[in-house]
Amino acid sequence: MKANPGGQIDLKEVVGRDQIIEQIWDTLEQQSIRIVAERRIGKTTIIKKLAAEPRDGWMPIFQDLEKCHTAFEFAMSVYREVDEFLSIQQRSARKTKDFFKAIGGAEIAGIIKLPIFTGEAPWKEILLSAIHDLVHECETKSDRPVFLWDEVPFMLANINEREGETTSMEILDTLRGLRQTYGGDGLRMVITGSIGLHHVISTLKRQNYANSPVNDTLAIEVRPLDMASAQELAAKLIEGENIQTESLEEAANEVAQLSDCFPYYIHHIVKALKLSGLNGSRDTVEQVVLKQLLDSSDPWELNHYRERIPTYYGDSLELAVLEILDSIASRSKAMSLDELLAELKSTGKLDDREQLIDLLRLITQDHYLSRNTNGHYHFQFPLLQRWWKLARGL
Amino acid sequence: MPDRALLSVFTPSRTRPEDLEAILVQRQDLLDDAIERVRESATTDNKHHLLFVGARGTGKTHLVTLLVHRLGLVKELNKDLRIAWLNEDETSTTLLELLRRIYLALTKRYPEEYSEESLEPMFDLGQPEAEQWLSQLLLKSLQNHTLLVVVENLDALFQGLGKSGQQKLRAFIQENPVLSLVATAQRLVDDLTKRTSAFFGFFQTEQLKPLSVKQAAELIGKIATLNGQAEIATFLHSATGQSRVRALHHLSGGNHRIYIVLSQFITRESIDDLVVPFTKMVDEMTPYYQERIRWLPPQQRKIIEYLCAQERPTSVKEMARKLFAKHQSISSQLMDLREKGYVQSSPRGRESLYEIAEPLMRICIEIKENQTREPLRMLVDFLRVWYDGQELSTRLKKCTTESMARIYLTMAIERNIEQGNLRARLLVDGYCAELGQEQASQWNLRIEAYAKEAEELALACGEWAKEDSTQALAIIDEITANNSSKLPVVKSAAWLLASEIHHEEAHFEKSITSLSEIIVLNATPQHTIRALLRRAIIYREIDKPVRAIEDYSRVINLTDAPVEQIAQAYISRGTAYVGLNPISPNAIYDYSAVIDLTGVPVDLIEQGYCLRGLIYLEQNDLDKASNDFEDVLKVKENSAFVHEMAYFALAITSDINGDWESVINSVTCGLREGRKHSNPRPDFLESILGSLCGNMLSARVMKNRIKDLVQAHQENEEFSRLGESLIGNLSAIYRNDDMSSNSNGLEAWVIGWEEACKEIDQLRLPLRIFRTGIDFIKSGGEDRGILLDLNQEERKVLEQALGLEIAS
Repeated sequence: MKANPGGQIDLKEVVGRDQIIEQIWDTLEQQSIRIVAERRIGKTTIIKKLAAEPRDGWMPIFQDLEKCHTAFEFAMSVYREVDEFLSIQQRSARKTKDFFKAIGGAEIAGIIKLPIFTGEAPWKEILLSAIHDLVHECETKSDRPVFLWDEVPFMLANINEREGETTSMEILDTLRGLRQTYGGDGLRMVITGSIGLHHVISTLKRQNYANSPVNDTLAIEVRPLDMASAQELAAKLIEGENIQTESLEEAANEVAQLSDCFPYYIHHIVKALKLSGLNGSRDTVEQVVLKQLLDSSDPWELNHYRERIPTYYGDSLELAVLEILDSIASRSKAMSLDELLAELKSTGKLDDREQLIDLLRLITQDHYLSRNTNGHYHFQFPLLQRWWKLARGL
Repeated sequence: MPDRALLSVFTPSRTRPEDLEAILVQRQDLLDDAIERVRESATTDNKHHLLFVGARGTGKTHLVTLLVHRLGLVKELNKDLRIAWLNEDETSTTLLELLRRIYLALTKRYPEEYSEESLEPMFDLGQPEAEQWLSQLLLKSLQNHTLLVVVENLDALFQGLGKSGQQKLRAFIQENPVLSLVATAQRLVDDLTKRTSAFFGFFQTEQLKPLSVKQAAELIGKIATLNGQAEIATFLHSATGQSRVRALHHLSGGNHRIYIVLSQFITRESIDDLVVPFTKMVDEMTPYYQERIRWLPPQQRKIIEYLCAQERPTSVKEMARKLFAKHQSISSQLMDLREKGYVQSSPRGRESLYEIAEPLMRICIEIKENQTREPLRMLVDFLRVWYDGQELSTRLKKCTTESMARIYLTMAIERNIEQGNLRARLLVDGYCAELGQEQASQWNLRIEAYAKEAEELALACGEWAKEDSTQALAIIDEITANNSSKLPVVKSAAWLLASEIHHEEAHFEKSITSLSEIIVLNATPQHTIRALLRRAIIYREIDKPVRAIEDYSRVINLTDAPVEQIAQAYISRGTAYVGLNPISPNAIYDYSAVIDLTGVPVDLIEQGYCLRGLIYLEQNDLDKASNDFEDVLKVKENSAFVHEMAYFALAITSDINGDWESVINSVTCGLREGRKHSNPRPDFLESILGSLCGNMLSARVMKNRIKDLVQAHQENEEFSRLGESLIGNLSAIYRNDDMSSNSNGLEAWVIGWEEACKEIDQLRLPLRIFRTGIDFIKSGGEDRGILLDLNQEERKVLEQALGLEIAS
């Protein structure tokens, strides 16, 4: 297999994700799931593997929802998947089709054509009846439906933009309602996306949205690979690219170490190594990584960790967040809350302990930081810390 | 001659792929890699998405054309792959339109599988339904094939699709993993780099780099070969050919497209053959640049127009002032223009200076402003690079009055006088860029000096700096060939350079041959003298002192040689006489001759005194020796090195005379002088140590003298030197049977040093080596086990000092 940063990976070649996949299937026995992780860590690969290789008794439906910009598009998209799925089983989404007929819809060349709606399109009815049809038909087959929904926050942000926050809130509430209604019948959802769902919900909360629409789902975090899997992947790619090495194990180990076991960076490093024409060794891997980190065109797109700060935490807290991250990045040891507070007070960036605690919680949620067993804060990923130091001249 | 290949300047996709293949440079590896990735996409479930980014004219279309061509040649891929190469001029604002373009591209390439008519039912549907219908048709008709979509100007496509279109496209790709994208873009737009954008991190991005001078030469060579002009390919390797490539590089800014346009000029010799076609070419290119400038937002356009009118790189501050704009606004616009490939910047101190990336673009503005049919400034600059100073003058003389060529040549000469030789500057800049900072600072001045003398010499020197001595010598051969029209002085300088290169490579005979050519040619007395002096040095190196003496004598006998060089020849000849066995008495005559010559630089006179003094010392004529050394010290402006030598020599004469007080005074002064220079230290101290060790002194006297020596070194903080001398002393003892057999004397000697230096940290290591060395010598110099008192590194030092075989 060749290095393929950003591309689609042959699901048979996915390395090191068996454990989390087992965990997801086990959890789905009980409840729905939301997957949280940094972008490009491999969430989509995981849910595609769930879709391609379902555990017995499950019937997965994968959808990338960023294409939906209205609630109606979402409902129709769900309907189409349900219909396609049922037609393969020689069943039909009867209730939904009856509804379409009732509102004057027609089928042309296998495609449902609905009349133009003057008011709000009946998205909720379509969504509810499509799920009803799915659950009802599955009941008779004893397979349990699970929706694997990728890029849900993108869809919600699109709908916020196009139709307003109320519709987004309604969608979240409707989905929660569906989970409650049909959860007992086995319906499950796996919700994931590139931008943290908590940011979308925080935005909605600022519009007086009081519900907790996803707290019935279990948050499962996708972490980078474990070291052994990262080494396995690196070795596989180095071989796939025909890169000469004196010791494949040593080169793969270096790639795994320097990438923090992020599969995306492993792919990037191996590809850069290939294009450099160098042999694979500890020195050349280090050389390639440093070149990428210092490259002004930012091939690993790490600058977004800096750029998103005002968006994530607001302009007023930007300097405080920068100070926190600068302080921690420039030290080799983790920092305690008190040390951070003292530092922020001395620079005049923040002096409220409670506000700092809140802020640190968010920064941690956004994968900048982690806490050690003493509760002290350090960078979650050494690679990010290294880049931060280089980029911020620390 | 075969027909010239049609190389489309603006639409490489219309050029025959075989021709594009024939002129591919710099990107072979990138292309091979892309092919492999598409092949993997076609034959496995891994789908790669590749993006090539580069400014206009950097060869993006050339690259994807070849990619598609090569994929088409791989027959076995046909069962796995379908290629939709989208027309770059069409646009899409929805996923539906894009899918339609993809489908239509497939109908063109695979008419048996895809037909335009099959799209008919789609037109009865509304847009969302049509999109769904077409997606299904496309997926169904692909069967098990992977679809490779080749998109040019992806940035423009994404702009057309907008955020929702991009999201739909990405969802389509994610939900239907049968598609692989190969795209090009002029720049990395936010739609690709922002983490909130749908295609963030999606592509494997490669930035296409501009061509270097060397790659440009390769490209032009390949174009020539393609056109059956083998002589051009040879010409490009010549010094003139390389200079011309540099001239084209200057105009093109490394842009592929411009090289292809300019390659036609490479062998044009006469000014008329250049001016008319060049003007025609400018005329043809103007709409291209005008369109590029017109395409820019108003403020960026103003900046470009302003920069086009500037002769030199300009600071942001200056631009802001002249354009009545804010510094920050100009700065951010310039960043954008740099990303788009319009401008380039170079740092100077804390600020950055900007200039137009492609000098040819300046023509566009100039043409617009130039309504009086004045000569094109750019063409004048081009001629300044095309011809060297001598050629410009020669051609001007041949021109008839009032001809256009005359006006251009006159302007080129005037501008060279006014602004310096542009051709030489580019040459030096080019090498400096290739050499890297450290190397460049070492070679810069030398290449520049040669560039002023003759450009080919600078080229040869530049190649040598790049450690390509074969190429350097090939250029020199061209300069010095019998049929070369180069002036004798240039040929002579070339041979001098060749002799240096051969000498560095230890090809002494070849070096001598080159120098002999200079002597026979006798182009200038200066070169002849330099050649004779250098040849003599080499003769001495290869142990032919008599030949060296002959060469020095020739210099001495030259009536028009400068006195300084005559003096140098005397000194060197004297030293050559010293090297004869036995020492020739002529040495004293030569050193005396330097001292007696009038108008000789002081340092040479000092050398004369010093060297003569040393011979007297060797002959045990202590009075004459002392006189000479004292005379050296009387000269006020002399160098610290010579002073040091004189003081130590005096110390030796005092030692022979038994005047210890004078010895110590001279040693102290010698050490003081020694600290003032960085030349190698003379090893006189070892002689003093040898004499002290060999004299049968009482233990008390010896200890006192050792203390005196330690103190002299302490005053001058020269312990490392004392340490080296002690280790050197071991060698003298080891080689001297009398000393090495006197065990008691040696023990007293080493104890004396150990006691005198016990508080001195810096001498701890040398003393340990010294002690072990003495123990080894006392034991008869056989028992290597004694050396094991030292660690491996220390043992090596001792083994070297004693001349022992290094134990493995």
